[in-house]
Amino acid sequence: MSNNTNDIDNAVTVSNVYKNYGDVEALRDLSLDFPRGQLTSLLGPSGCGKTTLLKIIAGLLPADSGEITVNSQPVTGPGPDRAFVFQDFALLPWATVMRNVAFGLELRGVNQSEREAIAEKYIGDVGLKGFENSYPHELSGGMRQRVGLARALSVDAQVLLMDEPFSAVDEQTRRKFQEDLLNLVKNENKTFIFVTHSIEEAVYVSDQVAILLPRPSRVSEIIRPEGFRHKDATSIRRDSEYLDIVDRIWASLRTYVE
Amino acid sequence: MSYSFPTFVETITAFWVLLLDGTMFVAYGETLKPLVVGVLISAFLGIGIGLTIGLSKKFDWLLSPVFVVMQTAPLAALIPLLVMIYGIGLTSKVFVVCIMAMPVIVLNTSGAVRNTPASIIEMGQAFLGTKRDIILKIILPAASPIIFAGLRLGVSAGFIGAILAELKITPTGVGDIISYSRSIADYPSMYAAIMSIILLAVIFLNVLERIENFLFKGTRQGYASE
Repeated sequence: MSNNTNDIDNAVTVSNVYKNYGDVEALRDLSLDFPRGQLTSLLGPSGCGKTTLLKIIAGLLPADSGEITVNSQPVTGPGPDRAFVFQDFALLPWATVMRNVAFGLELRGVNQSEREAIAEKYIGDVGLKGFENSYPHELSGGMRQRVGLARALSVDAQVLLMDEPFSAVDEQTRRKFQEDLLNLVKNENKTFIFVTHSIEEAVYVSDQVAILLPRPSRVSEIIRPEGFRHKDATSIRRDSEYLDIVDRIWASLRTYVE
Repeated sequence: MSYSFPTFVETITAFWVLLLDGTMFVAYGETLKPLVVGVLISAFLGIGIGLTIGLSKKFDWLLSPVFVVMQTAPLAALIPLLVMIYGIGLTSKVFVVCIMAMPVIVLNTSGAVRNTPASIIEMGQAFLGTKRDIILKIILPAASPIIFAGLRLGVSAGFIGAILAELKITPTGVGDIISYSRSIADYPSMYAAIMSIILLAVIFLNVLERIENFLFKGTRQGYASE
């Protein structure tokens, strides 16, 4: 474990970002770096501004002040270098799995046969082969989020922004997702920014956990759970370092939970 | 008394007589003019205005009250005013149809547009959709069930408006059959004419539903996130 990230190439940097909603201070002077090719979790109690920060990085919300860069380019709005996975999946209910997965490419003006070929590949990758012509309402919650994930992967952005992607799926599916995510981080050369309120989930999947605290919103601590990263997916949950970190984070968060 | 309430068989017989001697066709040739023109104007203009109101707070402030007034105004009392301005021709009748049909189409459309789930609009933005893409590929299809519900209500109201115009402005078409046969106490024909307009409205609404199902397959299934 170390807090030294100076020698790491950062895909995304956030420096001195402020954001207010009317009188409510959502983010105050927040700075955080996201190393390339790694998964960084934003973890914190509700109301700490983690989703706000993610949407600012996505370019969906403007920051009041401060700078965000992706690959050293300042963020002024949504860009092709970032893809978003939504908490509520944000699928088009009137579109098939195929059209939903290809929708990001459709909006980029990729022609139909090309985008469907790409979508086909990612539908297979997330394990939805055979469901191309199903509609979202015919799928389970977990499968719907796989569609959302395939859509984000198919636009081939270097940075994947995930807003509590597993919070609306059942516990068993969630565990499977977490294991799959570890493989995804390993195999795809992408930078993941992952918002969650689950301590176990954050420690399990992350290379770096940024703990955000509210009132005022700030990064209180950055933890890099490195000791068990090389272990296989199933034995991490029994690793003593994993359990220690989970305990430590809870100890620092518990006073903020009403 | 019972003479004013003919039996079902008498009404059906009168209906066939009117249909076979061609009276009905001539009448509908007249009635359908303001009806079709009015409904088409209401549908296209109504959805367009509804969309604008739904997307822009300024237009909402500017235009919404107009349609609320149109919807609640006692139309029958205003018809003489319309006649004074536009005469007794087609224009006044089209106006009556529009006043009946348009408000519900506009108000439903704007409400539906405003209620598009925020997350799918955000999705469109995050995946680099242009404003146009987001309106055409996300907002309109998402709003379509309620827009079509508004169209159905608007079209029904348009049918009422068309007959109202023929009864209150100049007796032509089906309105003429209704008022003429009432004046000579031919009640079976009067009810037959009323029945025919209901029949036509039902057929029309059915066609509309089929169009909707064809255009937006799957939309009726609700949102996956719900």
